[in-house]
Amino acid sequence: MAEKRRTSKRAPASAGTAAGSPREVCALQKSLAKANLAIGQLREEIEELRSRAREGENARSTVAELSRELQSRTLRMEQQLAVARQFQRLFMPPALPRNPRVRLAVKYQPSPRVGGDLYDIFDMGNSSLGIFAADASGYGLTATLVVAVAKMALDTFRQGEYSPKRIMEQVNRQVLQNTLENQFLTAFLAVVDLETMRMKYVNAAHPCPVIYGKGRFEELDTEGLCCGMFDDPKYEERETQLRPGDKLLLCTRGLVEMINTAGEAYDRKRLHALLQANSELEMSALVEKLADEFNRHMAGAEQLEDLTLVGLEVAARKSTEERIVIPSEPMQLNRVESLILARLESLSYGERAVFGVRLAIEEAVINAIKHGNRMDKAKRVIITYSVDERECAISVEDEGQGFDPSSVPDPTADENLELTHGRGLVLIRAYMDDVKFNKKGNRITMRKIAPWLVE
Amino acid sequence: MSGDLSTMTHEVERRDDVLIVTPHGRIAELEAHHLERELLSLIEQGSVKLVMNLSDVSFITSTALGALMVAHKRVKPKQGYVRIVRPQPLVRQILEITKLVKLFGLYHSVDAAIAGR
Repeated sequence: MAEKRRTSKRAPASAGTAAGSPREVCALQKSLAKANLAIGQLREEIEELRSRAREGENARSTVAELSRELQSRTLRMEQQLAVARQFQRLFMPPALPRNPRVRLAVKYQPSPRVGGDLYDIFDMGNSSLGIFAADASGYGLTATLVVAVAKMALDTFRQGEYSPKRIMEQVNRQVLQNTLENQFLTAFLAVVDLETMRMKYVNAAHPCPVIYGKGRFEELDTEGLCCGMFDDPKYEERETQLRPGDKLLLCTRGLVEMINTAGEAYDRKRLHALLQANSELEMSALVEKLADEFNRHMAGAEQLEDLTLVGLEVAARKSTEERIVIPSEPMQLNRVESLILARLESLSYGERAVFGVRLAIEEAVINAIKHGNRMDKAKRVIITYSVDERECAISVEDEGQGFDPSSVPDPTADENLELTHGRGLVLIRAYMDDVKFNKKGNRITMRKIAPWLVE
Repeated sequence: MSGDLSTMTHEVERRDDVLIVTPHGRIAELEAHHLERELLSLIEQGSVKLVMNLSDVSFITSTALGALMVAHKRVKPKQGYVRIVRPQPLVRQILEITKLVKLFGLYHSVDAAIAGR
């Protein structure tokens, strides 16, 4: 770290700013600090016992006594570390979110001395998924403390917030305020929009996050310093488009910085080679394979750091889900309608349903062309649809600014009856069973439940 | 959007000062623009009483409703009207959902529409 932290910023956080560090954190902080102190003392005592034993100052009976004492104290220290391990486990998500559009995989192999890794994968609502990986400085209870503060901050500040940069800034602030001077973490946070598969991410000096897949290999580096050391860590948010089959892998420094008995690290070169050679391997198998290779590489060496691998794989598009991209021309509607309506007719949805879906498609696509893309023929309309025995789902997205559907006046109100436009949404809502917009307001998603499942 | 792209055909029949417009088939985006131009040109030529016979129209969209509304607003100050005759059930449903039945009035025959009852 080139920059020195100003100690003036280390004043204890006031109650008002302690949103991310509720009472449990303080309690935990205290008990961990105490435990850490106890471990330090134990270590010293054990060292002393060891040296006294080595020097052979005492009779054999005393040595045996000391040895027993040593054993019991070591046991107590182990118990303390076991508590740290339990805490660390507690911070990991108990189950991974489920979504048909992505496959998730995690391999977590904690170090016996507790390395301070943290990962989280969470459903953020609004069709967004968050993926977080971090690695705290230090190990044992010290690292666990940093992890605890980071986890609380993440849980608190990701509510209703979809910008990884802004979330990371809050985590930075909380770790800065609530841990000791030399405590920090490296971290990576991505937010994936599961509808569009656009991914925003921010990297706080975390090693080796990577996207790979067919014809693609990118390290996800951004500007920004490690988390919890600086007032202004200068985080930068970047965005990328994930495609079907693309894979995101996060690891921690346990993977790329540990030295084996031959003095070699399993470095990023080896990692990249392995990923490129196995780009087709599905994520759950990949993390196992990578952990195996790493463990073979490290055979005989002590595992000083946790090993955490978090992977996300974009599912290949469902065979039933189709996509049509058209320029902003109403003429194109015929093609869109005939494709979708043919599916409905082949499944015998019936005249009324076909009529309603056709009307909804017309209205949504015309809105996208006129109001979204403002008739700009260079802008596209993206229609995604799937039809099966249960429902017909259609989404229509334009490349415009988006709009707030609640701002459209109700054209069925008496005073608005003579408006010459604005009836499209009313019709869509009347004929489809479920109509939603994304937050930006440039994508409508609508479903029609199969007629035999209604009434 | 040029009228050539529209697939809609229609007839216009005059009875005294009333014009009876009978479109056929679908009135979606392009057809609606075509219809709007036709109605405005008829109004331009002096007709303010329009009876829309929708008995052969299988599909309309909000743009078609917009076209009828444009015509309605143009003829209303001139003591004219736009009246709708015999929409098919699914088209009628659209007029009901949008509450435009209130404004245009639905009639079971051209004669009833002309008589306004």
